[in-house]
Amino acid sequence: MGRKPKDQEEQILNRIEALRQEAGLSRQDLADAVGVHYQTVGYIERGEYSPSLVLAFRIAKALNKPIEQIFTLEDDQEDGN
Amino acid sequence: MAIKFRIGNLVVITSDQKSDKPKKALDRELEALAANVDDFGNQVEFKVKRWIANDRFFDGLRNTYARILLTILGALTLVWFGLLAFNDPNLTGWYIFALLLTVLAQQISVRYVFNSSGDDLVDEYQAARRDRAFRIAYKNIQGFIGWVIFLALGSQFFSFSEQDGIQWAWDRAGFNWSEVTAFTFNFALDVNQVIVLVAALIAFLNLQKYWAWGIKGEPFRSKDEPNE
Repeated sequence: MGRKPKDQEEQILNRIEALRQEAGLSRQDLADAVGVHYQTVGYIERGEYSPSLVLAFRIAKALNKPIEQIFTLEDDQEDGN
Repeated sequence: MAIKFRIGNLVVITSDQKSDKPKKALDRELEALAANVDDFGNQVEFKVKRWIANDRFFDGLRNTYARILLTILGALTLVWFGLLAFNDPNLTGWYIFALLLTVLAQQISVRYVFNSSGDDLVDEYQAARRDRAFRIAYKNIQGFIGWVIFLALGSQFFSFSEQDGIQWAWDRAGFNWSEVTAFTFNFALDVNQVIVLVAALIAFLNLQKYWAWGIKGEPFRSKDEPNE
């Protein structure tokens, strides 16, 4: 099975921004906690970049939430609605 | 004093322990000193780069408008200023200085992602974008070299003069294939022109990765998106 073209790939949605604000963390705080640049946190929050699994788990740990509560596939969310 | 002599295939080197000991100790101290100086230099360089890469003072060079401006200015410097410097030897030094400034501005604009030997300065997003830029730059350079070769070889098949315009090799009287396939190029360049050409070529190759990085810059800090 071949890989889908980029424009047809399922997008990964995330709730980082909401959960970060809920936890009272700034982008810089979260960035420091997971070891990336604060701009990278912004790119991830806006869905412009999908983080690696390692980074995703680090973010989940920093926000103290299970990873599936933070990241969802676009299709999964549509199914849920 | 060490003596070296050879018996058949055997090479024997003698050493004078007394005279070698202080020398070795001195060598070791010098090596340690050199390593410390190197280490200190690397640390200073790393700290300066980390400061420039992370300080908000330089954010003005990192947004999309700045990247568009840097790209246009870089191309203008390379080509337009290059043509001026090619024809005026007094501008050679200024041209090289302008190219260095252009590259430096680009380095700051992308937070030194192409200059970090380790990954200390670069996170996974930057590394991914950097690797993509390297791939695009490689393809662009490949295409550029292809065009240069094509045009250089193609130029052998015609000549141009103001009187006759373009004259194709096979239309010329007394056409001989060996003339065309001899591939002779004649350049009459002075030293300054060679320096300008070499500087332009080095800068062109160096700037490829920054152009391949793209004009999309980092977003402005807005009130709605607190970054701190």
